[in-house]
Amino acid sequence: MRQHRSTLLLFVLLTALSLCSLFIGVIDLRAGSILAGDFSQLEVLFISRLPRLLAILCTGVGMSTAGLIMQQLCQNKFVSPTTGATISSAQLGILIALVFMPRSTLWGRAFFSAVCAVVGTWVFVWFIQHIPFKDPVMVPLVGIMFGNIIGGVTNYLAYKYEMTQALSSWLTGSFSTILRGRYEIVWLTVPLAVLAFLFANHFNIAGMGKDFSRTLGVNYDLVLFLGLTIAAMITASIVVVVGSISYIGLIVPNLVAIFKGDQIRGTLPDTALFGALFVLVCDVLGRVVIAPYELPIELIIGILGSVLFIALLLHRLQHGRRAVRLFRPKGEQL
Amino acid sequence: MTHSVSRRGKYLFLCLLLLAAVVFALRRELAVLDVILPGKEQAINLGVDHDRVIRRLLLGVVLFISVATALVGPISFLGLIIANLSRQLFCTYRHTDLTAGAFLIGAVLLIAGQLLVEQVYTYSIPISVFITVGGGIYFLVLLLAQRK
Repeated sequence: MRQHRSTLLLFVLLTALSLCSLFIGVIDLRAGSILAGDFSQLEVLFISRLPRLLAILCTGVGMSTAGLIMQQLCQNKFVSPTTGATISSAQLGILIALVFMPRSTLWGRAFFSAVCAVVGTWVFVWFIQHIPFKDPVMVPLVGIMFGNIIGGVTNYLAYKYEMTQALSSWLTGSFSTILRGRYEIVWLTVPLAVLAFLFANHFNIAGMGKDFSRTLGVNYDLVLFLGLTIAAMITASIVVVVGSISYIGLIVPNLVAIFKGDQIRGTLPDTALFGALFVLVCDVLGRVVIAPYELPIELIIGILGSVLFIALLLHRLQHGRRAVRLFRPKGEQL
Repeated sequence: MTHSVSRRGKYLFLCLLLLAAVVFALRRELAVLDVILPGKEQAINLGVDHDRVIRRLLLGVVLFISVATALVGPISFLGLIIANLSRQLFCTYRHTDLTAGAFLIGAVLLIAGQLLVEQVYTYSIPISVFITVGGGIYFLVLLLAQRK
């Protein structure tokens, strides 16, 4: 029960903050009038507030799970959808769909985005597997470079077909455009995250190397393919609806790993819950800071996330790699 | 027309003056670049205050980048690419040659890029696209070639 204490705490915090966030916004919602059945208040709740909350939760859960999977499979703490060219590939997919199939629906664009994201992630992972890096920090640098190349190609196509304005709406992540009927694609992250939980032990083993997996009877290539596809599809479904939100997949799993270690099955619920909490806090901040106007969440996560990440790096520098170990004995807290 | 040219010319002249002033202020630190190359311990062994030199050089880098960004806007990874190109073309560790080489390679690269933008693509695509794509491909090819 002791090891589930943190999960319980995060769940309680998340539920409480979720309920509060439903009442934060430009239009005043009152609990009394909602329970009494006031139609306009119910409309605001069900068309805007509740979908927004669900989108935030799905984004937080999905991005942090995707980040955790990618970090496990690439055996590197700095890989994430942002530093692994996944988000850039997803954006390229959306642009291709917009340019060559202008009458495509949201689902069509999501499909293209997913395909591109999977291919982009695959190329990146192939790259880092075939080049021995002396320094693990080189891997995210290569990922950022690769993402920049894809971003450059995306920009080139956008300028050529005069879609730069359309593209900019997908470059900055924002929850302000979430409305009922236009965001349901984000729900895809839930079954994908459940799938990731079911295969968590496989990802853990694959994360220890090809030879180790073979001795334990795990098909390394298949598990790698499955894990990366799940991560890329989660990212694509979020980018299509919300836009690109950087660094959640990088910060959240690392923060949780400092406290809970590397065993993915035990930390996956915590990572997902903390991811959702993190995104929710940032979104509420964005709504409150310059009310009644809104700051896009990409901005807030960028600031908050960078500060947290630098503090994280300094913590690891000071305390060494002692803070992160594989197979920490159950129940032990640092 | 002449008015805007002379105003632009004045800004460019001021920037050049500023860059020259920064280089002059950092002349002692720039002189020991060859010495800090082998690492911190070696540098301290040879009588160089490593931390102070690094701090001042980084400050100089910040000033250079600010001037460039204030003039044309941010261009990512250009420094990384030019430095690596310079090291590849001039097979020396001496920073006098490397810096002069980087200076000239940077000028050639940007003028070539601007030529591409003006003549081939007639201003429809900004130069940053070419630098990120071309530079990124160069960087990745370099990494692939290195492993052999």
